[in-house]
Amino acid sequence: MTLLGLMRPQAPRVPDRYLMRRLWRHPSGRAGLLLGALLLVFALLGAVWTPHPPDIPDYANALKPPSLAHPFGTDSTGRDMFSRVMDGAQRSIGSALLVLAAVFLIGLAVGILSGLARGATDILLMRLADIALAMPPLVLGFAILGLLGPGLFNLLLAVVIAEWAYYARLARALSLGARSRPHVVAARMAGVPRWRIIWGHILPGVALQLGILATLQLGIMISVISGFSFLGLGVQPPHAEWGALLSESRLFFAIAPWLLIAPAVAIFLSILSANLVGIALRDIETPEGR
Amino acid sequence: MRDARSPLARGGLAAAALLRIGQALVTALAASVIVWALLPLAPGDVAERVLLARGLQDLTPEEIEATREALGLNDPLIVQLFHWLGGVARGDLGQSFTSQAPVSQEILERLPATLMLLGLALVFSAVLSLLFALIAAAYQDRWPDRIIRLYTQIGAAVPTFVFALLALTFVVVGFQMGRVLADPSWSAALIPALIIGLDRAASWTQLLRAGLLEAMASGYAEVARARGASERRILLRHALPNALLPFLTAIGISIGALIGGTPLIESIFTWPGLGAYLLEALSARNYPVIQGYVLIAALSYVVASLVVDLAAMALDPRLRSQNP
Amino acid sequence: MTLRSLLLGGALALTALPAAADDIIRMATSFQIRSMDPVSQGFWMQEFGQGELLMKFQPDGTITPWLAERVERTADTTWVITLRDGVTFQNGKAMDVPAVLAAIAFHRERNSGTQAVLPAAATFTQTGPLEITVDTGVPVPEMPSILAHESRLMIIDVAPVLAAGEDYEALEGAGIHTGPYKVVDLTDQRMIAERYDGYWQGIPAMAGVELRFVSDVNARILAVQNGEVDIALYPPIAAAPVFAVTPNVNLALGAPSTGGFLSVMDVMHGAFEEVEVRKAVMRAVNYEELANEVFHGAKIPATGLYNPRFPWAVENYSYDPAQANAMLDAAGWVRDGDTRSRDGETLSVTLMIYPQQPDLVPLSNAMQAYLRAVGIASEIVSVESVNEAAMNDLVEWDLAMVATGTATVGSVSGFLNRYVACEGDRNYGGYCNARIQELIETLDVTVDEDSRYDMLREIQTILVEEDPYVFNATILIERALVSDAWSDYVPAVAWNHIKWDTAPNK
Repeated sequence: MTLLGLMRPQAPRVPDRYLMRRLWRHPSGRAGLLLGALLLVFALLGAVWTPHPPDIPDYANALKPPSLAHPFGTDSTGRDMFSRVMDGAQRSIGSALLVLAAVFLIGLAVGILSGLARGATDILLMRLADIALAMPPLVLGFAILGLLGPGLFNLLLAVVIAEWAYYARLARALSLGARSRPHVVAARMAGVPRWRIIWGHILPGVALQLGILATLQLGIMISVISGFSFLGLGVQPPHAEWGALLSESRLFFAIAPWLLIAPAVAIFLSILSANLVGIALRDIETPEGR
Repeated sequence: MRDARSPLARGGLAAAALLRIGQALVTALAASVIVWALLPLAPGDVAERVLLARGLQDLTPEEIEATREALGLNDPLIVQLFHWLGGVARGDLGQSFTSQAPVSQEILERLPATLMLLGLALVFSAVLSLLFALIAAAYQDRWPDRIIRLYTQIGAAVPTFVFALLALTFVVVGFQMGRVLADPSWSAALIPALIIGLDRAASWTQLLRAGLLEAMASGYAEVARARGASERRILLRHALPNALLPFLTAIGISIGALIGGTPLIESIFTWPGLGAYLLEALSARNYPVIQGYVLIAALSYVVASLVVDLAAMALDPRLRSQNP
Repeated sequence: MTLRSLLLGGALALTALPAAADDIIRMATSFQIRSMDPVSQGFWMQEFGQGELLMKFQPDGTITPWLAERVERTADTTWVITLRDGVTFQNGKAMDVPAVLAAIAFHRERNSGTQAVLPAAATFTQTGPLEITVDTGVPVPEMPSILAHESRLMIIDVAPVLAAGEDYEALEGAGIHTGPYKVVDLTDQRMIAERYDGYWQGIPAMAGVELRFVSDVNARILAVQNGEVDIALYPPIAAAPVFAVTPNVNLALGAPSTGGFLSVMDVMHGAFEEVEVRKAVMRAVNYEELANEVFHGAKIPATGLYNPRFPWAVENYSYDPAQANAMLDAAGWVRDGDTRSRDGETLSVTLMIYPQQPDLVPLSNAMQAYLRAVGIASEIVSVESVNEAAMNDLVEWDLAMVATGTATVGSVSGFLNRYVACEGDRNYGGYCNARIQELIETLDVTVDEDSRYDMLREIQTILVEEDPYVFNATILIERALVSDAWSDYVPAVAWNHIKWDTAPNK
């Protein structure tokens, strides 16, 4: 979705077996997976190699239009835009993945703990989550950045603090559901140790659903991180990040509009890939899709 | 469905609504506690920051101590909390560090601009998505539907701020449409709101179109068809009312996202609203303003979701029994 | 209802608004004037045609009378100020000797900047109908500069200020200044000033001033392009190629400034505790490239701490990366690719910039490249206020980049005492060099020009050869973005952006 803010999609109930195969068979799913894999390779490659150094100015080559040597042109200080978009991918995509991994793990831990411990722990954790959820998406993030100041790490921290609660809520609900499933009840009655029940019967299902939710949110996370960086609150110069690149290129659009297009397309493609997978997941959920 | 008209059910509605309002009040209280906690959590000496923001230099420890005392920062935290909550209840959100004016007054000055822009953007996106979704549903899988689906696919993958940025640079300035340094007015809000609305409508159209198609394929649509109702009548009379409820909920969720997104939008359009006010405060670490903004945003979010929930309850009795 | 008609309809309704030519100056600046507080915010009033000073700094580096008829030194510690006759405050009250004395007393009592440059023992007394005699106790060689500095002794009508107390809004429309345009409204968006018909030099050229506070640099440029403001201050010079092709946007250049982008090193913490590293950094900077490539020739290469047109300036900066590398090698920093390390510690620094000066971003990017070329890794941190962040250790920093003057309005003592002297209120880096301290203190009370120049030259030598701390990266040229109708506008020195005769092209 296109929201500036974090959209909180419903995690579709997906049959946990053959998920990847089903996704692959779905046309949108396949396109999304392929595009996503391509972007991931692009980001990984950009972290270790770029055709030109992404951060070092070369004033003799400033503001060159797209060419074979510089497919996206060069920026106002002569840095190769293709290299910067490539280098920025690890910060745009990587940060989004990092945030999602963090909220996934926190959500999983807090949710399962809360769902299984019940009592005071449960109430305390869930009240905390409710308060975090009472804030409109992003607003808590702005507040935390206001306290800590700008910077990529602070930004990631802010988004994690703003987002963990939703995952924790979902994980709790799912683990409560799993707890009362017949085979879990049977295992409990048979005296299977508690940690093995959690590990073997509850965790995998909850983790899968949370993982799906995280996948659906990938595009939104990229847009959030680039949005904050666009405002100068995230990635700091001279480091490239797609939102920061948009902000840098804005000044030069009158003579170098292509500088604005390249990062915008990069953001578009990564959100598109996540959306395509999302469409496939929703289709699989409905009976016709199976 | 018949229960909905019985006195008991109406009592149920009132009770459910009261419960929901109670929850909203508790959430609002919790939100203000969290907002208050921002200040004690802030790094550095707040009293010193206040004096520096007033342009004073060469601070003596006595001056800082006096300010700390005057701001009540020496009181126990719990006293400070109740002092803050009392202030909030009276509409007093403290003084801006930089301008030294009351934050609530400054927020009230900025609020109309934001409401104007967001309100207009909401109207645009609602109207556009309604229009697009109806066209798409009426011409399912024919060319109008395909074009609209392409638009929704692209629109859903372009963040609002990117779309706004591209539209502003290439359309507004490129073709000299509208003003850059806008004073808040309906006419100045028109183009920014249209841009936001056009972008936002993409995902709403997707949602409403899916709802309409689902309703068109349902049993009662078949019944209506069997009775000889035209497709248009089925779409407008049967499918639309049924699809509106989830659509309404989606709008409710979007309001939160819109509120959270105002700083970005207002920064791109140089719109002098609350979001721009927050960004100024962020760079100056003007904590009372940040607190005020977060509180206002949280409260409006609470109110918006309350209104949406109550509207949904009124529309669909089944929701009353559920815990919202 | 098509999208096209909607867009066009909106546009028609909108473009009609600003089209009518008006006779006010519409200007955009990046700094917000926060209040009418004459102590902390009063200096802005000199910049936009509200307040005036006794003396005025000129583009050629001289200082000439403004509200004063003349200022003369009659002895080492005595100055005689003769006021201009017939000047009135905008509220009609005469600017006479008692009024000026009250204004001076007001600033000396409350304004720490004034206190820093005027000895506490100095006395100002009326010695004639228009004459004030100043006895400074100790020599104050730069008195004319002090009188010409916007933050020191702005001439205001003190009575309304005292009556207003902390209610600064009461000063809007109170006419406490003597300038051509009188503030009538100040909000967080704009300041509105109206022509003062009783102005002493004649009828001001325009009906008024609308000053917009626009912190976003893109918005300032677009506003000029879109015809919404005539003049936008603080243009990003790095975007000069854009201005060259953008319709209705012109980059106007004025005289070389007394200031530049200074780099201040934190000598108390981190890499710059070591003097060899500081020396190496000064030699790693490609001053020519900065001015001519990074800033497209719209700045002047720094050749020393001062603008070379000042007689005391020493041109002792050099770009010599080989020597810089050799210095770091000799200091035991072992190079490995783009970085250096010693005893397991990597040589890295943090550059501190602030957002109101957009040129600091390309400058800091270039600085990073120069540092990397000699094996110093660096990060950039952006803070709202360098003063606040550096003086209170709010962030970790090693090299603060600030736009400031080293000889603002011709005065060297302000910069040296605040930024370089041991207890200076802007001594960000905790620098304290005994010889420089001694020189600054002597300089402050030395009247003889030749010995002053000798001392200044010695300070400049120490700051390069022996104990570097602060250096110029580029020298600014006064600049502004102007619309086609204002293309003859000359960006002012000493921030006097709006004068009484400032007007569009004939």
